[in-house]
Amino acid sequence: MLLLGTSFVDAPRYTLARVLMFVWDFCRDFWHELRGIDEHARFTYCPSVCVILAGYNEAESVGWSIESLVGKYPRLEIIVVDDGSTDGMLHEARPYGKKYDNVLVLGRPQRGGKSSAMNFALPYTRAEIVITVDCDTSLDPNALWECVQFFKDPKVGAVSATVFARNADTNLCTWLQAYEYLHAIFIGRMVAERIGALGITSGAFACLRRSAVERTLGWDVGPGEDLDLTLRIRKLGYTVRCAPYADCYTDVPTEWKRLWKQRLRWEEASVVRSHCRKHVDLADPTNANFRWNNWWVSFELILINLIFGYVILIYAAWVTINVPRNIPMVLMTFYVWSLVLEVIHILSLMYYSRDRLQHLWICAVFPLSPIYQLFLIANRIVSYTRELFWRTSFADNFVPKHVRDRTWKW
Amino acid sequence: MLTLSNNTDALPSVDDTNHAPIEIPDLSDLFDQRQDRRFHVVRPVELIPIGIDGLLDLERRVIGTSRELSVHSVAVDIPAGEWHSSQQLLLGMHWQQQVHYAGVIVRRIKTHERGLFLGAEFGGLAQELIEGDAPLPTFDRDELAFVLPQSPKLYENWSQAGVVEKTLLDRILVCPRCCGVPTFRHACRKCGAGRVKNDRLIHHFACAYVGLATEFTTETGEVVCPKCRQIRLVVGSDFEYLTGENLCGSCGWRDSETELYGHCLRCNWRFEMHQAREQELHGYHVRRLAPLAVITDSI
Ligand SMILES: [Zn+2]
Ligand SMILES: [Zn+2]
Ligand SMILES: [Zn+2]
Repeated sequence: MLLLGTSFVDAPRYTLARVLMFVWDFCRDFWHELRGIDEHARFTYCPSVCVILAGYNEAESVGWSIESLVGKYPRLEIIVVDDGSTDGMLHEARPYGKKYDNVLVLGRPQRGGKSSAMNFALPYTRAEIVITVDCDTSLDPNALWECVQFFKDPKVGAVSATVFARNADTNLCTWLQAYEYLHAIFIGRMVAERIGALGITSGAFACLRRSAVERTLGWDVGPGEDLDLTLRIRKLGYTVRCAPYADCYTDVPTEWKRLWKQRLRWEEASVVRSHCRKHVDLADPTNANFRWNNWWVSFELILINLIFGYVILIYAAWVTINVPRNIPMVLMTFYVWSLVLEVIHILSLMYYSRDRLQHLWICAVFPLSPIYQLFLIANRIVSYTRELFWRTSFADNFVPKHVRDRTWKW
Repeated sequence: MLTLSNNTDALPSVDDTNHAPIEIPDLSDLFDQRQDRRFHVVRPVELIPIGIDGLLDLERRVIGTSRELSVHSVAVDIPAGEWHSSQQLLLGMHWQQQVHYAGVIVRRIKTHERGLFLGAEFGGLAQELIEGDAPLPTFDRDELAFVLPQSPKLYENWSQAGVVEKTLLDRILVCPRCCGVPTFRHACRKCGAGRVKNDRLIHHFACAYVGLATEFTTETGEVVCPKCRQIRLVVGSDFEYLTGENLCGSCGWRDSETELYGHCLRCNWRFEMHQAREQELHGYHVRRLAPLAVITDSI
């Protein structure tokens, strides 16, 4: 039972938090129902919003992206930044700048990376809220309204929106990712918010208070610039909230190989690069700006993802060498245990879901989820090792060479 | 339009026709022999009457044959019934596979059994129009536009008649209202004003910061990043310049793009370039008849 005790603390821990959250919310909603408290008095706050659409070689989707945003919110401006595309993205976007008064199109001749492309837009907006949206991301009609409500509280510096997989029905790979997104992002971030450990916003759809972004002087060189900025905003004393019903949809990788590469990039940039190195001060109690809730963000990720990842590896090696006949039993135990947790996850998800039929359909893949989890754990171990020893994230061509040659290797 | 075989040898001459050779009458009374020596030149000619406005009357074009040619005059044989009396003519003579033109004034007419002989001197309105340099469009300082020496209608008429050869010299953009010549500026898209200021920004590679170039320069003239405090930055290796938004000094409009605007010097109309009218400038070439060369060739 060592397996359950160590390697799978992650899952039960989240499950416990989810169940507690569910019980709490259920009782609260029931109480409100009894007392007749109307919870639907929403969308009362309407700050000015600037959507930054920064993209590289997005000629095909940029026009559609702009059109899908225009008119979705009353005080909206859109800044499109072409990061030196070679496919004529700037040429595609220009006419929209002419067509709509609130669309500004900026371009630069050479690629400089997503972070500086987004920073390029900052001097040109005075909006209270800055929202970054990827060109291939489609927003729910109410998504902008949903996420800006949280900024009524001046202490809120960033709001994490919910990302769903648009192409869940393409193949097993995308189906499993859709299932993962439902739990890790939709419910996962709600849980993280409740325990005060929400330290991430997705770059595909992230809402930030402009004054907070300006105090940090904008995004640093990526990859992982969305996580990095959220952490720096937290360090300034702002809180990060989660808007579970600010939905957006994005295409997830359709091939296992590409998924593997995408996750390597994400994981490299997050735990080792950000939490263990650049923002290690979050976990340092001797630091003047130390806050326990920030410590919790880092501690959780480092312990659960990094340390437990290696513990699992060592344990698996130990079992294989010493008691190989136990392997089937260990795997079976892991599988059954994971399934039990998945069922609990799905039940709680159904309470929060607003599209139960669709989500239930996605959840039908749950018997394969434990195997997918092993894939993710393996991916994490590989990427942490690469980053720990070779700082591979700094060689990622997500950032053009002349820029990554100049940036600090944290 | 007169059509002829390209072969000079096949040109019809009076002697080649099926008609019996006619006796060439004494044409001495058509010309003053003392001043103008005449030569026997038999070539197909066409005669087109020209109005006082210089327009050619193509419907009354007459085909004939030259009989005699001198430096100052020509005698033409015209079949009976085709002649419409008119004094000022444009004469085209077929020579060396091409038609060469000259203006003539009819001085004398003499009838014979098959038609009439026409005695004409070179000169008159048609000659005036084709004399001098080839007509080219030139910039007129008073009109502030490109103009031709005569009205465009006249050149159209002459090129329709095949008298002048129209050559495209240039295609220019002019005022859509009056065809005047404009000046150009990269202007505000909203109001067309040329008073547009452009932001210059710096992108520091190391920290991805993008800000106005003025934020980066210290009093000592050094380039320092306001975000990461890195000093002694070198353009190209540490940072790059970016072109930001344009700010209109007239209406305050902000935009990343300017638009090319034309301003007509003649009527002061300001217009976007896509509204400009495209004007074709044509030159007109006419082959002038050189009587001496034809005479030399014929004897
Ligand atoms: Zn810098
Ligand atoms: Zn203006
Ligand atoms: Zn004009």
